[in-house]
Amino acid sequence: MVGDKPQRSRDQTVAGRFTVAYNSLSPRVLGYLRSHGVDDPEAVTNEVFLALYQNFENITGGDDGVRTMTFSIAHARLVDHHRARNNRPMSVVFDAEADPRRSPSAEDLATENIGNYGALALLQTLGEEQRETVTLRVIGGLSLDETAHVMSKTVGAIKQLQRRALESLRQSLSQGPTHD
Amino acid sequence: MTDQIDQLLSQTGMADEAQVREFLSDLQHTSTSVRPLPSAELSALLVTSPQRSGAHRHGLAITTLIVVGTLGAGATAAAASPDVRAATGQVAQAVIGALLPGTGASPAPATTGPSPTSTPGSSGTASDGHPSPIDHPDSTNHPQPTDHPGESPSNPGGGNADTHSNSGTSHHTDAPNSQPTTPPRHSGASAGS
Repeated sequence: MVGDKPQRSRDQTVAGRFTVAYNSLSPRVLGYLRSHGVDDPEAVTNEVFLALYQNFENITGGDDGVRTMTFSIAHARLVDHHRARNNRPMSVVFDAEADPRRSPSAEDLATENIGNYGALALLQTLGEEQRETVTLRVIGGLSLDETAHVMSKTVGAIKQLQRRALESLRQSLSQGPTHD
Repeated sequence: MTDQIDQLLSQTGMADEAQVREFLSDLQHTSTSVRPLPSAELSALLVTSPQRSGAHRHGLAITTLIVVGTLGAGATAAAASPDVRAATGQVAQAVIGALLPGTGASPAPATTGPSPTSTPGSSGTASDGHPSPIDHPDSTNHPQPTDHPGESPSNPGGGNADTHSNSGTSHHTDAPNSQPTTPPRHSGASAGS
């Protein structure tokens, strides 16, 4: 009887920690996937956390370790998504409001409102790896080292990518809308 | 989580770039403001109530009370007659039965047949060989192997603990003579002897 309680408490701890991780990270994962144009970001978010749960007990490093593992899985899903889409064009009903992949209109630029639409649209002007770096750092909340781990790159490479990304953004933002 | 934005701007030498900072803050805010809806499969893995962790502490408290109470009684009963020890075992069983109804322990195992004075108690030295209800192999607190993890999060009182009522009572026999004479097992409420 006594030997059972540690097992039960361990199960409860794992489930509790997993729930905390889900509540904390799921909006970020969803935003990360959405910012990269994943077709069904909510479904892929569910896949990410189901995959995370399978290996949750073995994750080390506390909250940082959980976050890194979560976005490693999300990154892998994103790569698979892009690979599949490149290999097989998919025709979907165009939803202008849900698709950020277009240039901002003159009206949007004129309003000087860098809201959700503007931020995502501006993000699309970056290269794929630059965009990945910025989204992992800003939306995912990953550190420099964690981002390097997820992208399987060196810290120096990530530093270069983020520097170039922000320089490009600064240029785009400084150009901004022009008023007549 | 503006820490990462601050670090990012600092690392790229743009700590003073207000436009870039505003853009990154806006990107972070708008991208993380939507909470996804978990699928049914994922919902089954999530804990819905914070009371699950209390079940463990509850059980631990019960065990502590039983041990302390029994040790206190056992110290006096050590030099006393076996009847005292048997009565101490009955007290322990009563506490267990009251606080953990699903364990199968009961203060008065009327269906087992043995006389109260010959109740094996927890000392493991049953004279008549009848196992106590709490010593019955099937009335332990072992969680059933078929318990589904998905059922636990939806049970505020603790998943496995609530299945004990099924495991305990369903195997509690009414035929004492059909029980094999197995050595009673230590139930945690030791009388210390």
